[in-house]
Amino acid sequence: ILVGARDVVHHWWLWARSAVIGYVVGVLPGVGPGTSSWIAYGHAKQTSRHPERFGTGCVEGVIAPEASNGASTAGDLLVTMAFGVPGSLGMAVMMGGFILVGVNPGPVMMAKNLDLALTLLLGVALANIIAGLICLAGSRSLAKIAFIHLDFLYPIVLTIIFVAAFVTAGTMLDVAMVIIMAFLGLAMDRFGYSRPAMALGFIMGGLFEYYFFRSVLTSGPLFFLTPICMVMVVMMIVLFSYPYLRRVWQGRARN
Amino acid sequence: MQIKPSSYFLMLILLFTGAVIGSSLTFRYFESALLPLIIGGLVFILGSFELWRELAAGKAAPRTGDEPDVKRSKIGSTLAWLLGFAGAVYLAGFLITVPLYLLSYLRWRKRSWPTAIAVAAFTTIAIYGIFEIGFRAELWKGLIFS
Repeated sequence: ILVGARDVVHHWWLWARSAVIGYVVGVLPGVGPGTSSWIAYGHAKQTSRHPERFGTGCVEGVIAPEASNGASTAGDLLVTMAFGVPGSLGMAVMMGGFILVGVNPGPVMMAKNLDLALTLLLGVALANIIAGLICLAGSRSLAKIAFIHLDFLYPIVLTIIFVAAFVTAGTMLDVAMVIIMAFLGLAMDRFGYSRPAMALGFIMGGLFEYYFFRSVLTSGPLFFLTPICMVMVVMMIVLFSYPYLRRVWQGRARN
Repeated sequence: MQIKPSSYFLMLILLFTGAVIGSSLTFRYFESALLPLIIGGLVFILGSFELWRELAAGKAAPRTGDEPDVKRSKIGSTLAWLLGFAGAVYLAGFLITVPLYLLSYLRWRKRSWPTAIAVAAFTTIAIYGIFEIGFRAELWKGLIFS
């Protein structure tokens, strides 16, 4: 365990760069820690002196994604609390919990519930430290959880899902919805559709509709023609079209 | 023209968004209908484009590739157990179905009787303890016993 800690100190610059990557990617709404880990891994491989070692247990290939993964939580939390836009699926679920107890994430939360926001920030920082200590102490025992066979996990997890779905509203319709969503998720996975994106849209849909409705009532259907909205629309168009334009430019440069 | 399974899924999506658009046209207030129309319309247009691309591609390589029969049968059996469990819960309730399901599933997976009985008993007691006693949430008793 201490050898691993020493490796992080030895590769401190990679750790710092990966953490920045993770934070920036975490700030982007809808882009979860999984994406930041892959980006950090790719960056580590590109900047490594021995890229051929990646995929064979090279420690840089572990440090980069893990540093990025941890840092993306901070970015997620910032965007979730300050703007009310969940940065990842986990934050979207947390936002749902906030709304259930009457706390609306966003600028209002920063003004009215600043103590809660700071508590969360300190909590995340403390959680990382405590989690690190727990992992150090119990890593050997905890690793055995990964060896629990699917034969036991599948029926137990399925049972818990069905029971939890039922007790939410006390109706079997929710259990039926679980089954429908299971088939939908299977189809989406098979045909290459993003399930985290759908879950994010499902959770954010209500909020989006509420603020959209307010905007339409306040400024009419063409509310997006206001200067601030236009700037954001242009930024969105640029962000969406940049990967395609870049490919076109690179193709032209090669020709 | 070969229609891929993903195209059928796309057709279902188009059908659903068509229903959303049709339903939103019956809304009394234009402001209420605006968002479903915009989102439904966008998804319908993009889905139609994607369906046209897939149908035009014809015999192009499928997105997921050919799945081996073993994997297909595994998915099929998993779904069968899922539906069977759901049906049994609806008829007999959680507290009867859960231990029977766990016992039968683990025995079907060739686990020993003591292991299957222990896991079934532990899970049932845990669920009863956590939900019925801890959360005071009444679990579904089943169509037969309610």
